[in-house]
Amino acid sequence: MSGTERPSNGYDKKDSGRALSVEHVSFAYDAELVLKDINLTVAEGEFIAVLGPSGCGKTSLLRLLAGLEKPVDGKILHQGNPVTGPSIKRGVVFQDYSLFPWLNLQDNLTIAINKARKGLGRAERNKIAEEYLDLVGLQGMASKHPYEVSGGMRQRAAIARSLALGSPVLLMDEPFGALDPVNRVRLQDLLLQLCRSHSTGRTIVFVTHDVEEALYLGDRVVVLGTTPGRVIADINVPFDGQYQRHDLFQSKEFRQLEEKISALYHDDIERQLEAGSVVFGEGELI
Amino acid sequence: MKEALHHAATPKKSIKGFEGVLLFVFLGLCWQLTTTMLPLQNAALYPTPAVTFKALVDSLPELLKGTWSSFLILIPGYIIAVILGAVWGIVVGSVKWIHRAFDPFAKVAAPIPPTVYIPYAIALMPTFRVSAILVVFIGAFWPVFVNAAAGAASVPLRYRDNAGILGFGRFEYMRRVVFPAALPNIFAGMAVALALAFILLTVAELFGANQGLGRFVQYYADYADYPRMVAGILYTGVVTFASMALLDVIKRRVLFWVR
Repeated sequence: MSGTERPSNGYDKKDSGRALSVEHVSFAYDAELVLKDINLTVAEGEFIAVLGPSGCGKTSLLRLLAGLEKPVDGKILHQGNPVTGPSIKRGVVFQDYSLFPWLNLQDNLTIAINKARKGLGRAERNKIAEEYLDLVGLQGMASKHPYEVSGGMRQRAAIARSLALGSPVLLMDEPFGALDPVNRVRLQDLLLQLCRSHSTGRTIVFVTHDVEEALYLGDRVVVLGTTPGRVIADINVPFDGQYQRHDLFQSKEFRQLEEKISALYHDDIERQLEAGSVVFGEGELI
Repeated sequence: MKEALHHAATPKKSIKGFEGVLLFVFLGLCWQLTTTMLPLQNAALYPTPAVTFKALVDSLPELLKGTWSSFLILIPGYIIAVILGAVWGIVVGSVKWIHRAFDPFAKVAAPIPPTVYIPYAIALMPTFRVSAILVVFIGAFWPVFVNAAAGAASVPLRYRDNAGILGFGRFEYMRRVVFPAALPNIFAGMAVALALAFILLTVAELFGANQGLGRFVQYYADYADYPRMVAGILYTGVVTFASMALLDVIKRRVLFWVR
């Protein structure tokens, strides 16, 4: 991408406002502790990947940030204000259900546009919706309904909706998790491209269980351990976006980081075994 | 061997898809044979297909007039029931305190067989038509209401999440999310309500109408004109079937997104 660079490396966190801060947050479903004492700050314009195995509570963390769940302990602040419920200031892209099935793609977007900019006429809203659909590569698909298009296209439309909503913070919950590998790669590149060119200053929290995806997309990778979910590492990703995808995956730094994260997972499992908690069912132990 | 088994299990290709039609043909044949071949004691009670068909053609103008009269009761009662049942069902299904207030009453009132209201409605209302509309309304209201409330109460979490993220207020949430999400339930209730509406309509007409489908059957039964009476039953069946089929077409159109 010409000129514009990822606002990652050399990004001065002291000079920027904190978009999100999570302070001593714990979360439980019924009696089961899902997240324990999470502390996390996300700077304005940062792209954070939250990485963790399934069941580590990373989706719960994202729902807490969105305001869709309330913590049992601790607090969550967005630009200094406590998060008490969902808001259009924090857009969310879910894994596969961000769109209303009874509305076509254009109407799914105009709902968001209506919220972001009040008082627009129908024609204007439709025009803006089409612009956002073009932006994510969905030219001419405005009148299609979600069931008529592929999973990849639905996620493109969901991203377009979030962009149309104009939220300064974008929360993404394994948005490419249900896609085939080819579409997954395409959408990862699309997201990076949109971040670099379009949305200056947009803060993104991206939840995934895929190490490569986290390292490829994130400026920072927050690694969560399981039972209960805790932050076990907070890693700055030292790639400038100067690498092509393929070269990046081959590079030594990338391999080293990948190994480091595997080691972290391994240690987390060891720690649980030592603590006597059951990680595997009896029959699964070799 | 394998092929022979296959043939035994499924009908021949030429029949496939027409089994339903064949049943009608079979039933018609049975009717024809039983009325012409059997030595019946009271032949007037069992008109042959030909006699019944002639009676149907002869009384078609009267039946069409009766249909119009019946629909002037059925349509207003049914449509008011669908609108109020859907709207009130959505409100009760999604607002907790209203649910707590209304649900006990609904649990008591909904199971009352609506036919028991007919004599009182006729006594209470100024004309027969208004009282019949009222009875059809009461009968059709509950199925729509119960289904709409159930649908509204079980809006999938994902739609609620999306509504929250888009910053919908309560009214906007109900109109743009709960209503479409509950539509499959509402249509299920509407089908039950329509069948019930026909029952109530014809029963009400037995009580006090001077025209209409139920009245037609009762009138010719009183005069022991069984060919016309049977023709009236068959005709009412066709009208009911056509109305249900029309509702089904509308449902498919509206719920195109349900997979």
